[in-house]
Amino acid sequence: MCLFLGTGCRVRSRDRESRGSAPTATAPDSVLVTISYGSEKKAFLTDAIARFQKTGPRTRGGKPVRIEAVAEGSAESMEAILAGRSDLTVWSPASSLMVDVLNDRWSEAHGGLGAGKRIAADSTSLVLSPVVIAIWEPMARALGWPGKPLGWRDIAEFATGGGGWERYGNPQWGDFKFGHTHPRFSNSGAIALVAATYAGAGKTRDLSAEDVKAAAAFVRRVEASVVHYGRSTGFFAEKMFSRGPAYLSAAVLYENLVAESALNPEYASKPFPVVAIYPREGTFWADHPYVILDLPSVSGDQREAAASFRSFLLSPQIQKVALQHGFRPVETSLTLGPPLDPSHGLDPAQPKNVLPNPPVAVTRAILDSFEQVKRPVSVTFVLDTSGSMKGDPLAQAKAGARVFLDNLPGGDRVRVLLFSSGLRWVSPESVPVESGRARLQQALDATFAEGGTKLYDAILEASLPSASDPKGAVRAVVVLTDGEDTSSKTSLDALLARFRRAREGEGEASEAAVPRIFTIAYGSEAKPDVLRKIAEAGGGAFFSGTPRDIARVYAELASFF
Amino acid sequence: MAAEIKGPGKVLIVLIGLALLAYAAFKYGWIKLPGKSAVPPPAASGESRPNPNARVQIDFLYTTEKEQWLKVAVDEFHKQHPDIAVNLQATGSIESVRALAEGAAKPTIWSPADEAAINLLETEWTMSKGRSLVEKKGDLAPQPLVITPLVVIAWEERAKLLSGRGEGPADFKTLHTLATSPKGWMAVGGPAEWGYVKLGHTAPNTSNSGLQTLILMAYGFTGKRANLRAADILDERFQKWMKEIETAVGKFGSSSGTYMKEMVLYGPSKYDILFNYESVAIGFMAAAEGRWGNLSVYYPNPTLWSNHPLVFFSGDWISPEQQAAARKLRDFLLSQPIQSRAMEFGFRPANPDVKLLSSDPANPWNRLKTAGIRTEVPPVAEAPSGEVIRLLLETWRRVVESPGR
Repeated sequence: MCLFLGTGCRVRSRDRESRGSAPTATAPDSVLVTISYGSEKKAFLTDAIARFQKTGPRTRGGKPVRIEAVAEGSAESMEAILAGRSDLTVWSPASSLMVDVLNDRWSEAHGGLGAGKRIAADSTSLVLSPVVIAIWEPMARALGWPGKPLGWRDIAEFATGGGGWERYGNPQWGDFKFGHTHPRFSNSGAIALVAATYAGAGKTRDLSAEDVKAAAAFVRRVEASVVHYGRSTGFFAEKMFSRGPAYLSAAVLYENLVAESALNPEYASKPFPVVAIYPREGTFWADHPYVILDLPSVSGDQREAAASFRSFLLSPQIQKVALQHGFRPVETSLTLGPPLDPSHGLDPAQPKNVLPNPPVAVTRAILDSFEQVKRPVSVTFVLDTSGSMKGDPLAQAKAGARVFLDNLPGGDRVRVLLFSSGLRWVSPESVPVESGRARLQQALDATFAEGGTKLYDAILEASLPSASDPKGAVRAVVVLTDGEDTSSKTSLDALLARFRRAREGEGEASEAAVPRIFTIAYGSEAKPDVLRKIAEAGGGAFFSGTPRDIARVYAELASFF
Repeated sequence: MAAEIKGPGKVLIVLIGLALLAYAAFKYGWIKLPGKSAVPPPAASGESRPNPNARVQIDFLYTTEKEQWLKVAVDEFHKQHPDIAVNLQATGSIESVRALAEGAAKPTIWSPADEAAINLLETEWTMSKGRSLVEKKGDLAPQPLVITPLVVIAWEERAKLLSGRGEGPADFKTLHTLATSPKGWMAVGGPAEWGYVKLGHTAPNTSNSGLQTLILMAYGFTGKRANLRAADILDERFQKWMKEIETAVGKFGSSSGTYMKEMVLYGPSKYDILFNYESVAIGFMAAAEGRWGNLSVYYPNPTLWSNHPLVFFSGDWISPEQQAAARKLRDFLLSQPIQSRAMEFGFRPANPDVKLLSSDPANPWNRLKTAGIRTEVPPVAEAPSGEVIRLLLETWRRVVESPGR
């Protein structure tokens, strides 16, 4: 999702692609098919939807068909379906691993013992793409690629061994910066966690719940090297390719995204090509199931329209388009060719082996263990209590802050800084969310609004570490403000320069010393441009919200940690 | 299923034996049926488009393995008979039985993978309606459209490694050794990156080729070719041996055609050695080359055959015009040119006037010799009794599919 998009992040931050032509889009009897899909298919599906709408599709009854598609993390969309989201006709996550988990959890919640109701029974694979470790080519060569087979265990051991790239004769590259998406939001993140568990258990099949426990210490070390998590793989890749090797050395992505790094002109200025490592122990396939959901809200017309779009996607003509976007088509009459070749960093003769999907119960145990193995997070929450927040705005912002605190994992740490004409710590040192939540909420409830807006001073103050943060914690600052700075000693330029230096790894303010900054422009008086710049320099993301939807912004933010 | 076509008498004996078994399997849940009874929508690509204004419309329900051949054949039929429109509906054998039995599907004609499905449907229909549905007499009696034996399909580089050691991937004792080796392919000199040896066959309680594989596995353990008995199945050593082989199967497919497609799509990353029909192997050979390289085909000894009967119904939803049109289609499908076309898709002709071997270099039995395709097939195994098959399925369910339940 858009948490890691530098720009254009709005409250409803899903990427919506609607390609309804004017007459069909407005036709009162048109049939709308809403699709939630993993962002790694964005380029392909956007292309395919446009082509489909051009054919002027209609149902057998003559109603025009309109496709509306939303790109989001596979696990995230699954949670939404389980929580009762009913506006979807089709769900197309990256992998059928997620379909199994959805069916399992749905029947648990809705069917009861033995009922076995499957919400996602009608599932067809659209395209294929193996999960790979995407890495900058010179870095891959330093590790021995392409002659030496590399795997999950090699990467995990490098990530946990310390010493960074100096170990491979390239100290100028600094630390080995590894990334994967958040397993609670995205399929590739879940897969990275499963693969790390296999590596930790020293197995390539028959993974059991006991293995999950035994491998936890190893997985925790791997996770300690993860620079940050992303919410959906496509957007995560976008960040790696546009920010370059200083940002991420390697990430768990899909093969098609490595192709996209070479094909998309937006990434033309990247310093090196990106190549795919196909892990030697075996990997996983993203099989991109197209699931017509068995929900009461899905009408017969929608089902029919969804099936006809599926037929279109599976046609040889559109399967060829998929190949051009770097996917392996499921249409067997098509021969694999460019861009699935070494000149795009890929090897169509790979992967040689797969790691089997563990039983659903084991997969769920791995996902559930994430809280225990992930890097601890320390969040500094910065709230504007200046005079302009008086009345409903502050009340809503406080209600939203409650949602935010409620959604933070209990094992993370949090502290709160209030600012107006001055700065006031509710707790200057971070406290565990679990034990400190109630006290922080009480303090927030007792807050009132008055005075000026020392925004930059507050952000600078909040970016300094807390002495009580655990070693290796991911630090983040979340800032909410409804106006512009009025009285800071710190200038905007100085603030931005400090964050940029840190992100580029220069000077004393190394990456570890500076947190990621997330900014929320609240209400119509806020200055989105300034806040967006701060978020960009701070390696976080910018949001905008109103008193009406601020709770949703907080919920989205909290789900990142 | 399990019928050697060359001896017509044998077919009937086998079928009668299987009828009871099939009904019991259906009734008591040894055969899994999909939850949905609706016939799936027509496949997306390369759809044969019948003329919606044709005078006679007929619906033809058939199994997925025959899809490519039937699409081509029906296109040709439409050209010659513009007054008839054939609506093709592809499905799995067992799935189609359920749809027919429940009345969710009312096709004019039907072609399952083998006769066991006919008996399954007849038993179910007779139980509920008190009469027969399938026409059995005279010109309307079921007739095989094409035939095909069960084979073993392996990626060439991996098969070579085995044959270089004098071992064949079609031998169950070899497969057992491979499946149980903790060193995987390394045990026979393969690289570590190949991982474990990955076998594949469809689930015997949903798909005919899976059931045939299981029967051959039981024969493989006993070393027999006939006379498989309940005591053979109830032998603890056999059950342990079967379970060990089956640990090498990552996923049991639900239908033969789609399972072979998976092998081609995922390559040796998921499937090294697969049991499937010869026709399916031939049909996917070119696609495999375009993806992962060459496939090699081996014939288990003994083997089993499938014929693909065309079935007429006595249902009141079929008009005399439709029945006459369907007969024209049947005769067309059995005609020499269309039977020859079936061979292009890997099927052996059911029409005895059509020779399997020809001088045509494009003939698969010429073209694919190097891949191991050959005209001579090892002797057929004797189809076990219904009781033994029932026991075999129940044993597989207990030992492999859901142990501990």
